[in-house]
This record gives sequence, C-alpha cells and structure tokens, in this order.
Amino acid sequence: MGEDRIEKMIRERLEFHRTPTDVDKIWEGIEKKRDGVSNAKEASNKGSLWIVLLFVVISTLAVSLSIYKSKDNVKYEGSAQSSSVLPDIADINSSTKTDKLRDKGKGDSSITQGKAKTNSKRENTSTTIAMMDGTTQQKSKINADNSKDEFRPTLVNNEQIKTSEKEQIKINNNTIVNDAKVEIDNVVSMSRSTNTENVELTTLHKNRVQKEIASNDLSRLKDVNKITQITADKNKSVQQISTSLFLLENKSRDRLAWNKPLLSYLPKEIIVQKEKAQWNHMVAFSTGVYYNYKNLSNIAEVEIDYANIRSATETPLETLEFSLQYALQSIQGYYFFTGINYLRITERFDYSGESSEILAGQNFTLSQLTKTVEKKIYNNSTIVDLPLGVGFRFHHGKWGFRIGASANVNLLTTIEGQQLDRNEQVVNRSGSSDYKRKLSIAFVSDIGIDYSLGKGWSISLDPTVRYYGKSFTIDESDIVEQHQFLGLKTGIRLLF
Amino acid sequence: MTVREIIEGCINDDRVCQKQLVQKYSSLLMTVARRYAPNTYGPSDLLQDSFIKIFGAIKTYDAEKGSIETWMRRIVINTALKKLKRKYIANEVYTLDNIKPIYSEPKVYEKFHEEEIMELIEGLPEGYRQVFNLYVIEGYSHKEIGNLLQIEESSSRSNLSRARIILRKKIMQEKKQEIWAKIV
Repeated sequence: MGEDRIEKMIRERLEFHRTPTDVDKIWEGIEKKRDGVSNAKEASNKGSLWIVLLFVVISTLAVSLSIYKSKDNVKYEGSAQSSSVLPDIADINSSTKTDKLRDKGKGDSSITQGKAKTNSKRENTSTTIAMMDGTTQQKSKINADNSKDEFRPTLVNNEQIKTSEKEQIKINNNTIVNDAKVEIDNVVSMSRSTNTENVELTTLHKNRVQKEIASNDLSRLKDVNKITQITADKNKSVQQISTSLFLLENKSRDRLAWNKPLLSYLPKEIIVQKEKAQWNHMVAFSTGVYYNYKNLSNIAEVEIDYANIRSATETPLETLEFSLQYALQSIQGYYFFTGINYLRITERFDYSGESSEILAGQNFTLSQLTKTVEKKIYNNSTIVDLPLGVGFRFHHGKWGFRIGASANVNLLTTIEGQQLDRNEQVVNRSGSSDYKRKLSIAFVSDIGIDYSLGKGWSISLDPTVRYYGKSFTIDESDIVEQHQFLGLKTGIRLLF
Repeated sequence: MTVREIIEGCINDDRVCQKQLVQKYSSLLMTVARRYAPNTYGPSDLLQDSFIKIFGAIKTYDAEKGSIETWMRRIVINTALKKLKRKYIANEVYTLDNIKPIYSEPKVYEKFHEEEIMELIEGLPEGYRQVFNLYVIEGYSHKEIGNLLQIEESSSRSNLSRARIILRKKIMQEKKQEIWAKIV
C-alpha cells in the first residue's frame, strides 16, 4: 500500500512538472539538426542516383568495349587484292599495306579474292608510290604489266568462295542490276613522278554512289569492305581504284556487289554469299540463392516502436530465385536481355502465444490451464519481375566472362504469412494494407562466368546484387521495410 | 494562436507554428527528457530530436485518441528508448548488498519538491530508471515494458523492485541529512 501511495504521489507531481528551458537554444538546435536530416536525405537520394548512374556507366562501358573490340577485329590482308588489269596497263601488285580488306568481323563471309593470279607478263618496273586514301597514307610496290589488252579485274575468285547459295545475275554495263548494286567509292588518279614516286590523289565523292544506287537499296546498306587496286596505263600514269564492297540486303539475303564501272568486266556469273548473322540468340535458365538484408524502421516515433516489435520477431531466411532469360547477343560481345524472374522470400516469425486447456477434475470440477508456448511460423513472399538489361561478354577459350545490369520491373508481389500488428496481436500479412501490391524497380547487377560445354551449351555462375531503392510498404505506412539481396546464381545457357 | 491552429500550421510545415509548439511544450517535455536521458544522451538533444520527429509525424496525430501533450510525450519516450536501447539493461549491475528494504511513511516523500524527486530519479542507474519511469509514471505494464526494452517481464519486475529500493534508500539518506542539518 505504501508503495502505491508513494508512486502515485511521484506520478502526480511529475506529470505536469515543467522544467525551465531555454526555448531559443532548443529551437536553434532543432533547425541545425533538421538541416542535417535534410542533407542526409539528399545524400540518400544521391546514393540512389549514384546507383542509377552506375547502371548507365556499366551499360555504356559494355557498349564501348564492344565497339572497341569490333575495331580490333579488323583484319589486314596484305597483298590479297592483286589484280590483273587492262592491256597496256601495268599490273600493280599492290602488296602489303595498300590493300586492306576490312573484314569487320564477318568471319566466313569475308570476301576472299586475294589470291587471284594473273598470267600477264610483268615488266620489272617496280615502283613504290605513296598514296592517300582517306586518312591513311600507304606505300605500294607497283609492277607494271603492259602485255595485256583487256581489262579484266579478277577480284573475285569464285573457287575460293565457299557459298551456301548461288545465283546468276545478269549484268548490263550501265544498269544497276536486279540484286547486286555497285559503286565506285574512290578512284584515285595518280601521276607518276619519275624520281620521287609520289603521286597526287583525287577522290570521287561518295555522292556518286548515292546517285547510282536506289535510295531504298542504300538504306539497306549493311557494310563496306574496301579493296584497293593500283593500275598503270601505257603512259605510265598510275591509277588506284579503291573499291567499296557493299553488302546489300535484298529480300532475305545480303548480296555482294562490285563497282559499277567494273560491271562489264565482271564475270557473268557472280557467286553471292549469305552473310553470317551479326546477332546470336541466347536462352538461359538459372536458379539462385540470396541472403536477404532486411531493414525495418519507423518513419516517425508514434506511440509505439512498431519497427522494433517486428524486428524482434521476424528473421529473414534464404531467398530463392528461378529465372528464364532470353538475350540477343552481338558477335562483338554486348548483349541485351529480358526474361522472367521468380523470387521466393522466406522469413521466420517467432512469437509467444498462449494455449488454453480445459481440465476436468474430480467431482465434476473444471479448470482452465493456460500455457505460454513459443511458436515459429515460416512466412513466404513471392516476387515476379521482368528484367530489362544490358551487358557485355568476352571469352577466353571455353571460359566466358560477363558483366551485366538490369532494371527489373515488378509484375506481381504477394506477401503471405503472419506478423505482429502495432498492438502486438498476430495478424495475417496478406491482409495488411501496409504492403505495396507492386514494388518499385529493382536494380540488379551481376558479374558472371560461364564455361562452354560445346554445341552452344554452357554453364554459368553469377554473383548477383539485387537492390530495391524503395520500401516494400506503402508511403502512408509509418514503417519502412527494405530488402536488399546478395546471392549466387547458377544455370545453363544455350547460344544459337 | 490556439493549439489547434498551431497543429494545423505544423502540418503545413509552417516554421512559425513549429516554433510556437516548441515554446509551448518545451518545458513540459523537458521533464520527460530529463527522466529518460539525464546523462548519457542529454535531455536537450533528446528534446530536439523528438521535436523533429513530432514535426514529421504531426499529420498522423489524432485528437480523438488523446491530447497532444500525451502524444508528444510518447514520442519523446520512444525516441529516448530507441537511442538508449543499445545499453542493454540486463547487463547493468548495481550492488544491493548493503541496502535493506525500508518501509517509511509516505509523508516523508510528500515533503520533497518536484525538482528533488527529479534529481532522485535522475540518479537511478539507467536500466532501473527506465523501468521505473515506464511503470510508475507512464503506467506501462511489465509486459509492455518487456517488449519496449526487449527484456523479459521478470527482468522488468526485478528492475522496478531494485529501483524502488535504491530510491527509498536515497530518500532516507536525504532525510537523515536534513535532520542532521537541523540538529547542527
């Protein structure tokens, strides 16, 4: 009794007791701290911005690397384009650096006319000339050949082109013929200096090409490969003919075409080769296990510390992911992917409950026995999302290395199980109005390796980070629930 | 400016109204802050943090559920407990070897001034003080205290009991000094 009275007295006397306070000092402190909070929020926003920027940088890096790699793939094929020329025109064996067949990574589809032979008699005239072709300076040895009377470029060595498809094309001299389109990119006239071997170059503008090729065909221009021929006439004037080879798409095929002025000299049968695909397709199936970093916090300290109540009773367990992915992968290595991901988040909910039991005693007496029991419930939530991503892959032997990032658009979220409400009563989570029906975009980044098993199949391993910038709860809720995931994915991939 | 107008102004993020709220309730809430964070955290800091949270959450205040004073008092208490939570109460040891329960007359306490009672409470070890404050002054049950402080209910009871003993001993010491002063 004494205790109750003492404590009642203390309560009454302190309940409305006011401590003299320097209000201005308190207000000043509030202003300072509030500025600090807003700065912290800005920093947090900046953090999210940095993640987006990182995503953009990774994407840019991937594309840049692929472009850089594609440039590296350009192959220089020394004297591959030696040609026989007109009568009285010297055959110029444009050895070494002059003739460049820019492959641009087409592999088998590259044009292989390099080893064409001439039966012409060759004079011993061998001159080195300097030429300018666009931005490059080149030197070539010229072997004059005056013995032939006809101009017959042997740029195409039919036998050397292994084709999957052949088609005869009628060629008229000044007509753009059916499928094949031709043009002169550069015709360089060179006046030969007796002593210096330097030549002056003139270039026909590419506009000429555009005039001669129908605009709709031009729009389908796929690629350019340059071949340089160097010729000399009777008067010892030297010509360099840079021939651009255009692969024009016609219907479903790409065509190989030659310079229009050279049409009349082309064989009546042109063998065309189907271009190898620039893009490959990839499908992958993977499974992953994530560690779930869950963070609960109150937006405001209103009456009860709800985040604390929840944190004390909820323990994140493993999160599993199953994903099916489709990627469009360029031969340069960069790829774009999409697909569907299924995440299953498991958490344990521990709480103390009471169980009552009615016991029948002697003489028909009944008694109620109440026991406290510890209960464990496993809560499951599911997330289904659609990734839109970009990445870059390079390989070394059978090993492939990838870096990729994606923005995952949430399609479906279900939160199930049980949790404590603010009054510490057990409630169903599926009925909770705190949770969003659709989550914000998740940023996913992975650095993976894969090992080729042959025939397009490979196995992969990807350490992955899945970042949710925003809460799983709605804005109106006074609790913030954030999840971040760090895990490892493994799967099988098929490239075709 | 009425309390209602001040609250509405605060909801609209009006700085003038916010300052009015601080002026009006600082001294009342400072008492609460002193009881929960006399030394470790600092009552002024606690009060400032609490007001920032009050401004952020004032739109959720429902006048039908209780007075603004009660609502703000709870925010101050929750802020204090959250900040002090890391100091786990169960780890605190306070020797009671030489303390014997003293059942003195309530009249002894009635002679104490509020500030003296505040000083006595401030002098309690932190864990005991929190339980004493929550149970005696705020009226929480031991179960609620257990959840708030993440301790067992039995620990809450034990801490309260020890807080009472310490408090009584201090009061008796004060009383003896007072009597001794009169004699001298």
